[in-house]
Amino acid sequence: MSELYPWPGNYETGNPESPVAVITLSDDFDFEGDKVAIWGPMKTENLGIEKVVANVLSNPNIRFVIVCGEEIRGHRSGQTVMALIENGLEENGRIKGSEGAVPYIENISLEAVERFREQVEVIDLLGETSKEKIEKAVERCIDKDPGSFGEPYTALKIETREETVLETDFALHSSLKISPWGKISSMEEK
Amino acid sequence: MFSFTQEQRTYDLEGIHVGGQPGVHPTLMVGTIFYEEQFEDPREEQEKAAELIHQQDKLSQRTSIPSLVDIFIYEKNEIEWKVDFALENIDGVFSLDMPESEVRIEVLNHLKEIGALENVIYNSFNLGVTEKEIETLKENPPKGAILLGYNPQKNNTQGRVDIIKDGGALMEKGLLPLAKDAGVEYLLLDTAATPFGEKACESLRAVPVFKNEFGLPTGCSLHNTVESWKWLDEYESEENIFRTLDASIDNLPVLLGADFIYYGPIENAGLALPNMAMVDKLMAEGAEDYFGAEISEEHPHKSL
Repeated sequence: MSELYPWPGNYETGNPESPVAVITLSDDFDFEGDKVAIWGPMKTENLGIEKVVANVLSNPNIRFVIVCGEEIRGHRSGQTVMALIENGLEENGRIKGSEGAVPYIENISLEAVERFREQVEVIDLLGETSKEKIEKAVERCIDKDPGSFGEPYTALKIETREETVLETDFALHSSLKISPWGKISSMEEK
Repeated sequence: MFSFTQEQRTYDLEGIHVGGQPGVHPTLMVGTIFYEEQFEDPREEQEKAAELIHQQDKLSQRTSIPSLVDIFIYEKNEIEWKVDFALENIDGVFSLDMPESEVRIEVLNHLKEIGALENVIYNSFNLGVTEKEIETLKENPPKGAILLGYNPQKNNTQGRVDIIKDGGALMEKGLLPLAKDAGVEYLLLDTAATPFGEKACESLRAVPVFKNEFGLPTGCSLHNTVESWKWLDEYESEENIFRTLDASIDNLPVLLGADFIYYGPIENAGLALPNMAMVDKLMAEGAEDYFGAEISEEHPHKSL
């Protein structure tokens, strides 16, 4: 069985059968355990969104993502996650239509992003901080739950790790050499 | 500890020297003001803000560690009063921290209008730059800019170099040639702090690599790495823990040759500046004793 919510982050979990995930942006809300599957704040318009995508994909029962709470100023993470679901990615990984500072998805595959976009419907409550209103939206989502999206999808993190070299003649970085006298220069310099 | 064979550029920011060989000039410390949640009503609490700047200035005089103020501007409607505040309360150069491109564009236009482009370090020129912003920068270049080496596609040291040098796979041109073309005079390189688990240590490794590659003043703001460390959430209310860790993590890039540090909330000047005086004193002794470097006059090496 695949792991539920495999990417670490700042989130709480409730009923895995629930069709609802709630992104609370800069606010902290708590929800009754049986109504919401996963909820938590989301600070950044790049790494934060990647965590949401990966964790939502791990639970195909989640069919709605409610975006609520005060927007993250500067990052515009709420607007950006909605733009991702609405528009997808440009070729270089930039989220189309995002107003955020550096809205790039780079650690997760395009296939995963497209599946996320198909799996969930976004509920725009950006700026909403009334817990009562958010809970009503949760109820409405539960009422129109279309059922599971199928098998869980495990989004692997794309690693760009450089090959580790244990026996080498460089220190710090492959472009640098440090002389026995402490002088740093480029590797190609004599 | 080290010295670079590549010539190292030093800028004179109205009497503050930043850059050069490690140990020669004290580290420039930049404290941030008007960050999110610092004040309940920032516009009404400008006196408190001015007092914090005054405290940082006093510590700079006492320690010989130079400092600048970094002012957060999130929204367009904050531009006018925050720039006015800076001009009224700060002698010389200050840094404006503007996460959104649209805000940065408006700021440049406003600075041009009031004749204050010469006072500003633009923070930051980064991957999120738009065509419109580049055009505005060419028309209204600020005196200086922080060029941020953040590369979400390839966040190892080489990826960070690429964003500065040629844009890597994400930009058509690198931030350095773009800033030079725009006519920005002071080019300060930021190795881009990333959270633990996202190649955080590459922000350190990139310090000597940037200095060797570009010969320009280089720094970073590793307090961001501390503040995104999740286990510390349980100590959220214990400011001393954050302030201590914020100050101590700044020692590491300086050991590797960093010239400036964005140390985070300006309230932490009382820890951050004396801490840096200690590190700089050690670095200066090493540079003088071992490399025969001539240490600058305004330096804790001589004054403390």
